[in-house]
This record gives sequence, C-alpha cells and structure tokens, in this order.
Amino acid sequence: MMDVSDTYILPIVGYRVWVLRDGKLSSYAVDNFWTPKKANVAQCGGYERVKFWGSHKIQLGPKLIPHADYVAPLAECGCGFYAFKTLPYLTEWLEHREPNLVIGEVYLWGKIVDCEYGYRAQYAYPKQFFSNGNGYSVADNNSTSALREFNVPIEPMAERVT
Amino acid sequence: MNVGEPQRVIEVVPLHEPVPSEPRPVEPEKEPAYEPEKEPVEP
Repeated sequence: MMDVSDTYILPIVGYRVWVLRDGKLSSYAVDNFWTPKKANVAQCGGYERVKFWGSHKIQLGPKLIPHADYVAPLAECGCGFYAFKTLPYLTEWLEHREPNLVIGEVYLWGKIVDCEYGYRAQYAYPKQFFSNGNGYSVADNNSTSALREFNVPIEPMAERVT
Repeated sequence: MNVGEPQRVIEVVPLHEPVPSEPRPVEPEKEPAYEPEKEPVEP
C-alpha cells in the first residue's frame, strides 16, 4: 500500500466529464449521482461492473479490487473521483467519445492518488461547468437546471487549448 | 477516463471545503413591539 507522501492545504483542480442520467448529474463510467451543495465522497464496493454480451464478459468502469470502503481511493484499486491534470489531456480523451458529455473543472481533496495524467480523489465537487465543447451545449438540452443546482459557474470552454 | 498509473498518494486538507453553501435565508425584519405611550409623571 502506498503511504501519503505530502500534505497540501489548497484543493487540487482537475478536468473531467459527467453524464446526465434521469436528469441528474452522474459520473461517466459508473452510476454515481453527484450531490449538489455537499462534498461528494468516494466509495468503493470492491466489485467490478460487468455485463455479458453473448459469451463475452464486458467490464464497465474502472478495474476494482476488494477492500474496505472507507479507504477509497486505494492506489492499488481503481476507485475514487477521476479527473485529468490538464484540459489538453481531457480534450484528447474526448476525441474518441460520444458527444453530449458534461465537461468541466472539479475540485479534489482528501486522500488523492496522483497518477500519470490525472488523479483519483476521496472528495470532489464541481468547480465550473463548460457551457459548450465536444458538441455539447447547455442551451441545447435540459441540463441547465440540473447543473445550476450545484451553484457553480457555467461558462464557455476556451476555444483554443494550448 | 484513463489517468495512468499511480505515482504517489497525497493528502489535501483545505482550510475551507470548496463547496458552495446554501444562501442564508433572509429573516424578515421584526416590527417593534407596541408600547403604549407613558403619560408624563409630574413631579
């Protein structure tokens, strides 16, 4: 198990996507609804979300290993709130994804697994939603009210990412 | 989202949680309680 190497007092800002399910904000890879106006806490059931397509086993979401729920995220597991370190990392990842994802910045704090291109965090809360980008536009669908509940800015994404 | 392999584990303990708080409800101003005017008392 990796030990904590450093402690910081400012939350980390990352870049990530969400989806709207049943009119509510959810994580992309797992069915985890985000709660407005409260710190969202990572949980790990230690089970992988799989389904069968014929005889093929398809894994959905991150690869997980069994462990106590309260230690999420565990470095050796795949749990925690995900975010990329930079906007270019996110936009590159978005190139092969479906449109209509909710994109934005996220605050991360608590225990954080610092990875090559991003983070997995214990606590998270949206910092800002981008009102457009990746073929997505808040004005084009009914997501505005779901996003406004989080009481954070909804601004256009910068056109050119360097 | 593929964030790559873990490099290290850190702890972030912010002085204030970055969660917007509920707007504080505005309490209506209380009207001053009625006090009957006292008659001046002559010395």
